[in-house]
Amino acid sequence: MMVLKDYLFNPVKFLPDRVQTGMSLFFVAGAILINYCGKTIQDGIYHTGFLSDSAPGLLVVSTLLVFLLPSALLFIAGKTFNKGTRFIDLWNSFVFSMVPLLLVNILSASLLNEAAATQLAVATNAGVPDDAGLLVRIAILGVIGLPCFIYSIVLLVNGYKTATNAKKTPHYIWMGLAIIAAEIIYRLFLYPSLINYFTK
Amino acid sequence: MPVKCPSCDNSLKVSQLKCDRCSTEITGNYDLPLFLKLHKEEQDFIMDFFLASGSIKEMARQAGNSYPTMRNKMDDMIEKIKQMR
Repeated sequence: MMVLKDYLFNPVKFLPDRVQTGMSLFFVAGAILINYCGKTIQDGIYHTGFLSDSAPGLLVVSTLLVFLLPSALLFIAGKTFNKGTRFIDLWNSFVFSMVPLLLVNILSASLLNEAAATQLAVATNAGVPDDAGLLVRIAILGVIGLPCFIYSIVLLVNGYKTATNAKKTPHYIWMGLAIIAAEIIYRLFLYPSLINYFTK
Repeated sequence: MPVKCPSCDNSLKVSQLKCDRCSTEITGNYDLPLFLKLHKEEQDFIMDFFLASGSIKEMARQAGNSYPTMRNKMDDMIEKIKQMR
């Protein structure tokens, strides 16, 4: 039981390196496929939007960037206090931490569609949406999404701790800053540039 | 072999050595070598590292752990030994 718990909350600590890398590549390929099938796109590191007519190239590059950018910034953060930090460990840690959110993406793509998301965006400004079915689906997403998000954060913190040997509070502050910086860089600069490039 | 005093947790010293063949006894106040001041698991870890030809990757494979876990153990032990010296 103890071992199962350890595997569930910190796979980076126990799985052999090759298994980790193989699994992380599989999850990244899965993320691209989920976005393609669900007509969704990562418009933020921790946000997925609907984009019905996105080019396959855009999906691949945006999904890869969503995984590569935070991993790179976490690697730089780890390097500041531990010279032995390796990029591959932070890549694996970050990819594993995104797996619960991939499940939310699958659920989101199957429960909502672009029209529903638009309706929700309009309704958010005007008050409660009229569609009761939409409200139920949003409630289901919220109930399942919140634990998944918390689980994702737990996986990220545990993975980061293992990958960098972080022990002190400043080490975790570096981690938080890296994630926030990744979100800002991706949303403000990289994603708009990708949209411009692929919709020319 | 105990390395810490069970009463006050201070480091123990060697006060007597004895030859098994002629029963000669030497008494004194000798420091334990650094390696022997480590706990049993730590001594085993260093021995495993030596037997794995200094490969942390190989040790991780044998122990069924990942490379960063094993490297962290090594880093912690290096830090501890540096402080002991």
